[in-house]
Amino acid sequence: MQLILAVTDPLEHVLPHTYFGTHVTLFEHVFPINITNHTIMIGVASLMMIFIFPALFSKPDSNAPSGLKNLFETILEFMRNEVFTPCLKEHTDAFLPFLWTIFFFILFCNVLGCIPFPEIFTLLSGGTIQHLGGTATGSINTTATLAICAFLFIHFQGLTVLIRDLKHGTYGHKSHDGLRTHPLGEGDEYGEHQPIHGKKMSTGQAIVSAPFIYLWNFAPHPFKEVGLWADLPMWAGLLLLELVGAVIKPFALCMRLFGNMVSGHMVLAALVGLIVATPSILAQIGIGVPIMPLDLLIQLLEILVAFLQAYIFAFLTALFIAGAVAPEH
Amino acid sequence: MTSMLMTLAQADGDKALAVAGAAIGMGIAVLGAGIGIGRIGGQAVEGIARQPEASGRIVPNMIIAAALIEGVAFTAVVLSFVLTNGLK
Repeated sequence: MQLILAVTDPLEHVLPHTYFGTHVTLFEHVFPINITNHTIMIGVASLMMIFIFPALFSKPDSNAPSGLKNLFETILEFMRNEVFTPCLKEHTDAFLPFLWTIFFFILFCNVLGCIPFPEIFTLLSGGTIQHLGGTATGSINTTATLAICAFLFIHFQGLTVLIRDLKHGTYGHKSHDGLRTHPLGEGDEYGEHQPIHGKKMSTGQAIVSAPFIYLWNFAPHPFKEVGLWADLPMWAGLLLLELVGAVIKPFALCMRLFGNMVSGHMVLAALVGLIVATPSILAQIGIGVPIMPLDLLIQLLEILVAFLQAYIFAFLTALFIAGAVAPEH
Repeated sequence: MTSMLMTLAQADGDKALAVAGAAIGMGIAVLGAGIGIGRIGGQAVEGIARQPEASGRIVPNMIIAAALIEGVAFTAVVLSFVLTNGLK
């Protein structure tokens, strides 16, 4: 009975529990390295992905898909056609592996956290195995790593596409209009820069000038007709806002995923803890009768939130990649 | 309510008051999120009522906007919990 009391403490339910901890000392700072139950769940989710997807999709197959292959193909096709293609119109297929991987990793982590593995293993083993399982994305370290991966990918791809455009001389062209260029001497209403018509840079020139052009493209270019000095404060403010936003948007991704995953489990554990905390057995039955259906409904909501948060993370990452790779001219 | 806060402060010094402030801050943050998401839901349902065929385009946008607002609320909740050392 005591061990069941222990696992209904809402905070302990969601905190990571170390299985194997060690310390690494670098430059007189001690870095702890812990293998926690969240780390094990990351490993489980990754192994599931490594075993499922190549087994299902390695051979091109012209039959109609069925069973598990149908399920995954539906989700993959829906994400590609309805979510990623409207954002990244022509760059979709280049970034699709990363976006699909992020979506399915977060999905598997979230759904594996909804299955109560810790309690199952504790009951089956009579109390010896504790906390073997949990929500991997319910640890701020996991979601921060995912957000850092998304941040590095977004800006690396922005720079890479810019370098490729500079090398081929297609920078400033709208490729979905069939390489129509701005005629010289005519600016758009925002005073756009004149595109570099067909000027091919060498690789070294492109790599050196790409970060500056990338940063220059963050904010709308200052007006040329109104006068540079009249527009400079607004441009500086917008540039600062965009630069801060480039850091804050992945941070918000991390916090959103973490908060959604942790709060669901904590509410559930707190409600179950209400039952255990009541003194007499009659009161426990009395309060348990409304709480159990409520917990079931909250668990269903949590499954919905698991799918939704994976979708939101992938969709927002695609949106940020689109903003970095093809800034609206 | 201020007398409760004073009792709390005298009992345990600064840690108890910080945690109480964190709890109040969480409540206020969630208040803003509730107002925002309620407005989005209401406007979305009104849009669907005007043109039921557009519901397939309105609902995903509603969900995305709600998730963005909820992200900010969760940021506030998590930070107010962590920065006051509620998660030792």
